[in-house]
Amino acid sequence: MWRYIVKRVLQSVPVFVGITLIAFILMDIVPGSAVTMMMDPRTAQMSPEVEARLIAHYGLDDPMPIRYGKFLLNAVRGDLGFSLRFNQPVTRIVMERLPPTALLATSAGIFATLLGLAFGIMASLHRGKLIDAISMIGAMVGASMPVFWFGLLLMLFFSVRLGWLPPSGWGSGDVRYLLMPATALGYGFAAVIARVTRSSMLEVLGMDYIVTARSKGLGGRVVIYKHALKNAMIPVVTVIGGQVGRLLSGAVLTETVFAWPGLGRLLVDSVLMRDLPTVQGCLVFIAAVFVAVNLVTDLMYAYLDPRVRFQ
Amino acid sequence: MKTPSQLQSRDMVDPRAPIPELKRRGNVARFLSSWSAGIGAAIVIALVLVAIFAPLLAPHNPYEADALTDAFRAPGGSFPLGTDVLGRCILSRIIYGTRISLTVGLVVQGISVLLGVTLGVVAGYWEGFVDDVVSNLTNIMFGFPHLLFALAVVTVLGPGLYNIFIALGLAGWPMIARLVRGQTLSVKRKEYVEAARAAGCTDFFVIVRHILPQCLSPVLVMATMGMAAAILAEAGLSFLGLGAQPPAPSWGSMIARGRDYIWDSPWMTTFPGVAIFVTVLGFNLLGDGLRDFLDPRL
Repeated sequence: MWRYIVKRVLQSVPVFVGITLIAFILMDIVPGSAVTMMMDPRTAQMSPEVEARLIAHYGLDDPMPIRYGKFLLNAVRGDLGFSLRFNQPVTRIVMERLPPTALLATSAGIFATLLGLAFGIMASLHRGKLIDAISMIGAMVGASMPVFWFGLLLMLFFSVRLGWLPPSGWGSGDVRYLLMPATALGYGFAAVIARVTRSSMLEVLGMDYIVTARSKGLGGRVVIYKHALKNAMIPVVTVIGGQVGRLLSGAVLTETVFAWPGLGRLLVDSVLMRDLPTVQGCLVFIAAVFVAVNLVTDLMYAYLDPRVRFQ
Repeated sequence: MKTPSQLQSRDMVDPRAPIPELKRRGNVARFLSSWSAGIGAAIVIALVLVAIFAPLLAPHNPYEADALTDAFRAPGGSFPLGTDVLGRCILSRIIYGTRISLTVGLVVQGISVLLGVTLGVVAGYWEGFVDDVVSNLTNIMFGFPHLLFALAVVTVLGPGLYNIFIALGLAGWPMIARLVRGQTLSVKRKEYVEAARAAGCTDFFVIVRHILPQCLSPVLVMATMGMAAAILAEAGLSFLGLGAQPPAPSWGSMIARGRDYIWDSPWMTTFPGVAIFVTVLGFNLLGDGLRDFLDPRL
């Protein structure tokens, strides 16, 4: 198992380096220097001497490989650069915006996993019955619904019509503020989990060892939870890990709809304001989280399925 | 393994003989008999027709309106779905918006399929260094959630529909490349490919004749589902103000504009959303149906 863990950790290093490289190159080929980008030529002018001094000050005249090397080294140390717009280090801005996003994404993830597993298992145990049809139609709807539109519909119903829930903001973690964004973000995720759980369960339930377990007289519950579910979970874990990207993308839209002061909102604002260091910092940070989550997923996968780690 | 008699009986069929009409109809009927494929195909065909005949179907000009008299009209009368802030007919804008969404789906998947199939076949067929490069690039691209990669590209290129094509097209190829690479690797080792090579067929011929046809159905399924994803992503980016720019009637930007008036004029946000939902649902159902039809094992 240790060998597998070390191998898998080493494998994610080039992926992380590649991601930082892409983020760096993309931001590097933007026309105009990072200094002039911050200036709106309609309102302010910068003399060429000042520009040259600033460029030298931020080390922007070094050759690209050197700048990338510095960027990567700093990123690993936790320094994601400096935002001229906020006049603050990007790392500090990102850390300030992290708690709301972490709260939103984990609540949505937990909600989606519970909902998806419950409906997926029920659908597989009652194949072809009403509950199966309802679950699968619900899943199809969830997979096709734009998350921002679903969020607005929730807002329209629960805030505008009924007045039960606050329409926007995060209320420093107050649950009433969390309910709608987490539901909006989690529904699409739940849909994917339900579908995979159902098909995985159906496959496992048809296996010989389930028939054996049943024929030797084990009760339905034991067979389902002890024999079938554990094996059926293997593909589900992979899908949950792989779909975290969808959750992060969805968080960008959900945060915009509900004025949730998180990383996604920061990223979109920075793109619109062309605050390149912050965009770069957010991208690298989110991608690093994503790589880490995928790593954990793979390790869990190896834990659940010994065949993987002995390959 | 097939027995010799089975092989022979199959070889006896003249490949040039026309496919019996009965069987062909049987296939289409079988495909459409699954409810998801039937509904999906119906929705997609209807959308294509709406996009083509938009000028005939739309009751008003989607761009022009009299803001003084028509703004904020509730659904009903000569504006079945109401009007927006500038008094433009929402139904007409949704109808014209079909063109944008379908174009996004087609162009984005066109780019993804072209890149993905080319890179996947090259990597799988020649292996070695090319394969290392492509596989690593694929892994790195999997590290970026699609929407975030598109956001980065849009930052570089600036907002706009054409840049969305590029951004989403560049984000979409890795899934297809991974699939095609795997398929190529397995087909390459089949005996008939070896036989073709031994008979002196060029690499190009082997790829076009033997390998690509084997990739066709999974790529078709993936591209159909990919259209749904691309349409959803464009709607999201346009909602954020990074996609189609005004006055283009993109569904996502219609929702973004109507958002501020959700308290008094909810129709501005609800109806364009229904359009996105139905379109994405149509492509998802069609993709599901295609998969069940082309690969019953899944």
